[in-house]
Amino acid sequence: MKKSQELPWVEKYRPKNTKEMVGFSTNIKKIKDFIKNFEEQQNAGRKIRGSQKAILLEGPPGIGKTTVVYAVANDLGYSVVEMNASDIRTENAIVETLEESISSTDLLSYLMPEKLNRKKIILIDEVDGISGKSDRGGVKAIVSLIKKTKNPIILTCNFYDSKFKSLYDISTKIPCRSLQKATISNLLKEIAEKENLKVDDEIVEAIAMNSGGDMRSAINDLQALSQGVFTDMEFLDMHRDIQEKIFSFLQSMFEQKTIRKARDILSNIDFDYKIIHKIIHANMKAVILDRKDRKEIFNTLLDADNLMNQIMTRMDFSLLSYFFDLVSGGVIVSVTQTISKGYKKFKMPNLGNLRFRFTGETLLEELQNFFYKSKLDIVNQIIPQINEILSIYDEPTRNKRLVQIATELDINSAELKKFVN
Amino acid sequence: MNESFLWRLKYQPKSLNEIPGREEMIANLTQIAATQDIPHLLFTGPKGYGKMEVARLFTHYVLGKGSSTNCKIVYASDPLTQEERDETRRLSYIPTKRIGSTAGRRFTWPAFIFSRIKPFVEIKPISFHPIKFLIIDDFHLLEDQQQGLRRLMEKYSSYCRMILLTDQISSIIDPIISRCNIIFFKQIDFPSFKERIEFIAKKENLILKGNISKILYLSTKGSLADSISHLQAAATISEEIDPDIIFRLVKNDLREEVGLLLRHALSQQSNRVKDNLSNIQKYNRVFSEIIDIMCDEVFKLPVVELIKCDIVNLLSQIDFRTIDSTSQDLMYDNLIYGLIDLGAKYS
Repeated sequence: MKKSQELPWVEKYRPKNTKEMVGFSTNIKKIKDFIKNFEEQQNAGRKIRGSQKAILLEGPPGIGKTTVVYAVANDLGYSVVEMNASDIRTENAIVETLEESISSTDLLSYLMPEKLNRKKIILIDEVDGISGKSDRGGVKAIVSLIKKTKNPIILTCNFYDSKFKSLYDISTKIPCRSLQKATISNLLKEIAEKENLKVDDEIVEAIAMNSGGDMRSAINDLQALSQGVFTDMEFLDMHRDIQEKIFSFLQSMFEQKTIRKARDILSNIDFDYKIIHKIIHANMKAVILDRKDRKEIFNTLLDADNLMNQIMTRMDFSLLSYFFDLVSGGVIVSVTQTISKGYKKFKMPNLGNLRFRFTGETLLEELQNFFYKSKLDIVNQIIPQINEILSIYDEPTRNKRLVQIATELDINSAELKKFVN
Repeated sequence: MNESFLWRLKYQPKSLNEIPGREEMIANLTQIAATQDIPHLLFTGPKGYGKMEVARLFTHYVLGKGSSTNCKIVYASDPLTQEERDETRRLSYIPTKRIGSTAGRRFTWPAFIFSRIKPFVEIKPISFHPIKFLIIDDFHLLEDQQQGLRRLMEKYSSYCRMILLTDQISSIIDPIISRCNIIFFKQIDFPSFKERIEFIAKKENLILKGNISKILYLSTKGSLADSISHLQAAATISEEIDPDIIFRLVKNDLREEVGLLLRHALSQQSNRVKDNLSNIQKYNRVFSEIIDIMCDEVFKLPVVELIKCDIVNLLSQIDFRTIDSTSQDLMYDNLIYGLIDLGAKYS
């Protein structure tokens, strides 16, 4: 019992066969088909085509690419010869370790006779970890290995890289999607039950959300939590979605009494510093309720805004530290009354109308050729003026005039009508 | 298109010399054009003063018929479409087929400059014209993307000239200002404004009663295009134009709304202040313009003179700080909370 506790949970709860796997059903079938096909062809003595000799599992880390290979091998009675990023993968090393281990039977298999005649799958893990300098010729060796192999080869990698184009050309690619949040949280709950661990659902959800589909990191986080590396509340503060993170940052910043601590909190958050004062401004009203406190904070934030404009127009970044002092310390000094706590909805600041989208863009673009105004000005000024001119007429003449304007400006009259009304 | 239904287009100046009230500036510009060595230009002045008109007709004057192909107008306030964003993202990846150290890398470009400005600037002028023009409206809205233009201005200066228009020169970076000739726009003088309005009235057989051109001049801040539009709206009612009709058309709601905001803020009715504020923001005016109106309205308030004095002091402080501010929301909040605080102090 004690020994199993020392095992990392990731290893302890690694699925042994495909039935225990989570969320890989279609890919498992593809991998099994590939191995069976390889065996059939080889037994029939046919020549196997290049792309049927190797497959490549591509997907983000921690979703179980390596695990699924072991599980499939276990199901079909194969053993796995693995080579991963921790090994040196120069041309010679690959040839020596892989080719020899395939052709010869190792010592262990003599001791365990049931393993003696097992067929082998070659797993080359984390192909994108092959570096250009220290693993010289590694890719070339793998390519030649695939060409003359008598065993099915499975490669795994995280992202496409142009360095491995030759590998991509001669293998079949199987994309693996990242896991869904619900799958991860269900599995975490199962593990927690097995370990007799009491965890709130909220925290399990937070871990699953934070993992971003990475099962391995989620399980590691759960283990770290159970071993008391950090407390529950700290975990929630640390690992929330970025927007909520900003909010808890705001609340914790307003609670501080000293400027130095507030500054420390601000420096820990990674967000675009150019708009940090605008974010504080947009969300501050929910936290600070006292009118006088608000006034003081608005004043400081405006100072910070002016300073930021100076920094950006003069490119004088030596002033930046004063900006951070103002935004953190200057703000908390203004708080005299108690602040409201609890969950609030996060607001994004209004960053000008550059994110704004108009309806009828093409019509506006055509109108721009005549009035030479920006789209916003056309909507706010020109269209009301046309409306004003036409407002005297009754419905039929009004429509006639609109068609007249439309033909004159060579635009669609129906669209213009929609706009003017 | 000889006679447009909309007077605004019908009486749009067709050449540089037709622009009323800008004789001095036009003389300067034609002199610049004659030297064959046109610098980059920066036009600055409030909205509605005719910056775009002068810029556009100046390129017509220099390029002649080629102005349709060799001149492009870019509006910085127009939002980027999704397609343009996607295109920028796609092109920022340099394919591995290319030879060179940049192959296979990813670059981040300022999206606006990359999708709207660079494609035009990179191509040489068409049909034997030595130069081409790029006009950028509301240039200050580009904010930190302005840095990306510095290099373009120098790199393509052998054939591309830029005319930058702005109403907020304080937020334009120094390197840009030093590369440009600055031209300041003033309100056009009243006599030439009056002359133009009376000329149009004569052509359209209108009878102007009272001091109509003065009213239009004051309410539109000397913007001829807007005045002509109002005139046409009035002419649809009757051929004799009364000051009353003009008053009805030229919206004075903004003034009333600002007055109400002041009153509500001083009596600490914060809910009503919120409504007034959202109404004011619908007009889409520059913040300093609102401050201007507020300064007028302060003296109509039914309060002690001392409070008026304090309010004007507050307004002056805030107006000074708008020079360096990028966030209108922050300015409005500062103003309102300052006013409410004053109200609380004297109640």
